[in-house]
Amino acid sequence: MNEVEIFVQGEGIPEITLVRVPGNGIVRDILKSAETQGVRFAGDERSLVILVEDQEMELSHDLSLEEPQIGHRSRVHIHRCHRLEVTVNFNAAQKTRAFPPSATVERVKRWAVGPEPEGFGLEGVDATEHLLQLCHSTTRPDEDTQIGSLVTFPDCGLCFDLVPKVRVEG
Amino acid sequence: MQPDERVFRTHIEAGPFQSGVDRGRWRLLSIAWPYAFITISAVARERAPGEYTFRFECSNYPQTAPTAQPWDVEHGRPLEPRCWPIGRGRVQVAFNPNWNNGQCLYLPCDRLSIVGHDAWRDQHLAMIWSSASNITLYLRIVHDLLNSSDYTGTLGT
Repeated sequence: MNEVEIFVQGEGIPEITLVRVPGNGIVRDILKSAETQGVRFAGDERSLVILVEDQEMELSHDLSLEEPQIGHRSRVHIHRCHRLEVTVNFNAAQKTRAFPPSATVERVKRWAVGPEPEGFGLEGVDATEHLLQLCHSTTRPDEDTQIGSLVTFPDCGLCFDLVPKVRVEG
Repeated sequence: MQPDERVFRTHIEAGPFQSGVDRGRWRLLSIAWPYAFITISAVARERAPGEYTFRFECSNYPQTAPTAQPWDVEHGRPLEPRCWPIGRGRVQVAFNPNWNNGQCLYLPCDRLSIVGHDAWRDQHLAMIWSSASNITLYLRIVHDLLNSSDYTGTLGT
């Protein structure tokens, strides 16, 4: 039986986890496979929302992996929050927007540096020389990180500071 | 196989490394323990390669940080200084062939460069290696530099 590999991120999953499931399986099999690899989901199965990376549509747990929405090396997100309220601070200004928990840090940053009034209007060099850092911390999640991984239900909000990348000196 | 190599190979098969492979950020060329040869992609620049290979020395991984140097795969030797990546700011500092005879990158996550730079542990906490780190910490930092607007090509460009 052929297997497909799925990248899994989500609530309580500290790093990207690669799971293998039967190619003719269903979305629920991803949960089972993740559990066998040590992932412990915080809620019961019915409370878990499963999304493809950067997409809004929630996948049925009974959806076949042979459907076009999902396949080999797809990236999925598992969480109890349906949406996250994301705030980004920059130069004493603040922007807020809702994202699905499957949105990547890269997508949030793209919005934050994007044109005003939605974003802060950073362009070119300025945009690439800044990154998102979790508020009140020194944690700078990789752009690959799906933002739900940074949040635990029932707190479905997230706060970033947009900070400059620092040159290593000394 | 020694424990350090076993852990390294486990990390190479795991999600964080494979995610980078899947996105075209990096790929493993070969392992000749304690060395691992990993190629990291770079944004397009005129007369510059689209990727660079680094030789990571990984003995006592992950208890001890790796150290990496740009590598000429074709000739099996360190990359000539004129072929090193250059930039205006962050990149220029990190890829300095004159630092430590070109044996390592000037980064807080590098085993050789951290020596004598205790202040970096406070200044650059996100780039500091710990025994809980894996090779993707180093790869992400280098990939970010090679895909930044600061990166301008190679010395020979």
